[in-house]
Amino acid sequence: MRVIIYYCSVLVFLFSQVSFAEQASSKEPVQRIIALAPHSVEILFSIGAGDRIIATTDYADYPQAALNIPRVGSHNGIQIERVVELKPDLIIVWESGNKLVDIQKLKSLGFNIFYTRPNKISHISDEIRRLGELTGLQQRARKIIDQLETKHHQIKNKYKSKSKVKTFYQLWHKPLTSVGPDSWVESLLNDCHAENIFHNASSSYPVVSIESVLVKNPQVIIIPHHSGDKEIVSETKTDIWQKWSEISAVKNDQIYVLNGDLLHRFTPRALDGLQKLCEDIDKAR
Amino acid sequence: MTSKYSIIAFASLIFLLFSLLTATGIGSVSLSFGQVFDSLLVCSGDVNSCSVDPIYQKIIWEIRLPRIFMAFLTGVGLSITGAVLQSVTRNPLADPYLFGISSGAAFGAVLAISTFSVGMVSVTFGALMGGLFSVILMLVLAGNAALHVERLLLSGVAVSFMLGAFTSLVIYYSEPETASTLLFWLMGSFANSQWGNLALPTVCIVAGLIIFVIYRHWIDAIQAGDEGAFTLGVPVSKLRLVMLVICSMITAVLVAQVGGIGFVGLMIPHICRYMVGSQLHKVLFMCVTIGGSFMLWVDVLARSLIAEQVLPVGIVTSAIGSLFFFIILKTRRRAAI
Amino acid sequence: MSNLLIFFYIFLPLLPLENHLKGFILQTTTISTNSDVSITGHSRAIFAAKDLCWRVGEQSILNHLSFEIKPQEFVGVIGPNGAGKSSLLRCLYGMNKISSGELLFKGKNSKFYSRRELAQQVAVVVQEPPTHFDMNVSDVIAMGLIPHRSLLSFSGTKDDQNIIANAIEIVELKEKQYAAFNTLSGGEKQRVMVARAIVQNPQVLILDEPTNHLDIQHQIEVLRLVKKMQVTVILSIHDLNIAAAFCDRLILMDKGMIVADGNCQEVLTSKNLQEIFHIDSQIDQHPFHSGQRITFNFSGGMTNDV
Repeated sequence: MRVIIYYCSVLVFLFSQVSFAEQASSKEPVQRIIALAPHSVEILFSIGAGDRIIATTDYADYPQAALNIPRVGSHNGIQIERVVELKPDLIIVWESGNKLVDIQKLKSLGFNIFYTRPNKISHISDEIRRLGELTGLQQRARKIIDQLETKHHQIKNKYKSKSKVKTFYQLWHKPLTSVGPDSWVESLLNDCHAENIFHNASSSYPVVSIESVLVKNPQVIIIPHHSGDKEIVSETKTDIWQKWSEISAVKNDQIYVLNGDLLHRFTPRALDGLQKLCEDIDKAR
Repeated sequence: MTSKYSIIAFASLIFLLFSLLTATGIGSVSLSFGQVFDSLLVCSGDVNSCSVDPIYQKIIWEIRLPRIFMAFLTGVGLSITGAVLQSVTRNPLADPYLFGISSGAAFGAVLAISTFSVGMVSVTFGALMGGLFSVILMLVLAGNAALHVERLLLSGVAVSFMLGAFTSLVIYYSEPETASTLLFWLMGSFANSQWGNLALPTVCIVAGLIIFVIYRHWIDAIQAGDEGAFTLGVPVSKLRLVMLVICSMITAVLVAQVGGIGFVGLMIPHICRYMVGSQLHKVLFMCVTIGGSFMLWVDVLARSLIAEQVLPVGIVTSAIGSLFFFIILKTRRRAAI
Repeated sequence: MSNLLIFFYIFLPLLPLENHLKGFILQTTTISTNSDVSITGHSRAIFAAKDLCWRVGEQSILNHLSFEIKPQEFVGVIGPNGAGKSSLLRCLYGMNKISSGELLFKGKNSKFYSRRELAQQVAVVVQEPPTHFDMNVSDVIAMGLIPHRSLLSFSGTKDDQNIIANAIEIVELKEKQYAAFNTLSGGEKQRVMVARAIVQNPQVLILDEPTNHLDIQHQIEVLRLVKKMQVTVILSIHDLNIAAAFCDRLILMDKGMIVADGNCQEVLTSKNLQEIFHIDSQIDQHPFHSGQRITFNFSGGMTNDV
């Protein structure tokens, strides 16, 4: 009995170290923001707080103005010293895009930290709202959220009652990677009322084999393509499927290459991406 | 004594054939032995008497068989190069990885992938250049001391670490997606196997095997010490160099296709030696059967351990291989055949 | 009494090996004489060195050595550590390239022999047989055929099998022929290396301190085997008494130079031993064979002092 209590207390202790949803708080509207995620930069600009961003990471390329913001990091790591030097009163960190060690360090240095971790479109609204509160731009935020939510509901309603379309989302081709449960992309697919064929995978970004795709026989194959991709010609990503006409997606020519930036960024623009996605999936119905 | 070897060799050959057939039947869709047989022998000829769905037929011929043969070739190639390197350097820890050949090939391939991301030809070329580069580098670093095996080995280890560091550097500075491609590839994968890719490795491995078998007595003589072999008329340094180059070519060609798979070249020759003794031609035969089978089963595991997902092969080889090694060490007996 | 002992000494090891009776008797009765056998027929030397020098970098290891070795001679190379014995042997079998001077093997400059040609005629047994040897005894011995066979045809023929079996018989390792080399004792390992040399069927056998790690029984055993081979033997050895018992001729070296070269009586003198080895000695007739017996005087500083 004592052993159980001991282990429980150890677990409690361990869990208390992990911050689940600790979010930033501030009495005054924040003026100096370091946004370590490209999507947060977009959101801040959309609510009018773009000029308050004093530093960001590589890949923050939208809107145009974002390109002029100084960079303090990339997917390889964040220059902590520069961050300290800039004296921000809010740092937005992104656990999927920043190194955990860096995040820990920033936290231990006592900065005001906002964790962005949207898993579905409704999370974007939450984050916009929160950022609005933090920057004192609640009104602008409200407007953006309304626009967002209206459009979102519009799209969802359009496809809610239609039949489910079996979809394969090819996140990357080398190795062949798809999306699993609890991933952002799957939530988008759900909004289009499409069925992710790898819904039962055990991780969010499973590496899969051509065979398993063959067996599941999707009706649509979606291939995202990013502006920054080395493969200038997106055709190479679709080449794998050319000889597999047994797949209904290939047979019926339902392979779509879409703008990855729109689909993978957690910003209001995602809705444009979502719209295109749902329209293309609909063609297979 | 010869008959004991014959029995073991024959049994291992049967096991290999069994493994080939079984592995063909395992995957997202399970096929029975009967179906596999049909698909291989019957269906290719007369489509009508086929008991297998055309889609499965296609899966077997287009996806599984190339993959299985690639796995088989990899197992064979890595094992035989490990066996020859161990004999020629008299070091039981020698394998393509130790000598930096794999690191060199990986480095060359990684450079090729990250700079020219189209086409398999450039990757193979990069790996070949990388492999040869590592051998040259090792010889240059060892200098005159290349005549002494121990110094050559040390030089190889140094090259291995150095090129490994450079490879990590290239990955560090590449884009996230390229980085993920490189990392997955570095850990080994048979996903890219196509019939066309099998030609070069097959040629290299067969040629290598023929050469190894022809020179087996000279290679065995090196076991007697450099001086001992010298007095038997064996051109030790030249032989060692030639074998190094051949091994590096086989390794490079394999690494270019499947990435980094460790442990096989180290472990399998030892297992084979425990079974049939140290004579090179016997060891080589067992490397073909046991090494090939091992890789087939590793591939099966990599494909089926996690449902619907594919693990990198290198992880599986290292995990299984090290376990195997412990068991062998525990039950080791000194018996010559 | 001593005659009986001579009888046993000579004939006892002979008993299981009837086929070598004649040769053995011939050898043992000429053990201490001036190797008349060597003069029969060939007066041409098998090895002839003139002003042979070997340098490593700046250092001169062998200095202007000149000597001749005739066929069938059993030559012992003796001298203190560092005298250059091993280096000389290595020059003879081609491992070291001589820096200057001339070395002729069978009348031809040794440079012009390919390694393989040399290996067909010269076999070498080194000090320490290699340790990491996973092969079995019979396979190791079979290696002696390497210089004589092409790469593609090897040890499969009946003749080859006979040669190997014969060698195994001679060294008396028949029961252990399938044992792993690693499991043998030091003496047995050396016998295997001698068997390999027998299979190599050379005209010259060079041994570099082969008895260093062996007990007295095996030291004598190995040398007896070598003597039986009836080939030219060049052997470097530390034990002077054994050298006196087996060698026809001795070359005494010191500091890279030949100090004395001749038969045992000429070379093994108290004066030489005092000068080169710095030790007092008394040399007289050996009670059991017709060679010399060397008794060393190392009294002083011991428990059994007079």
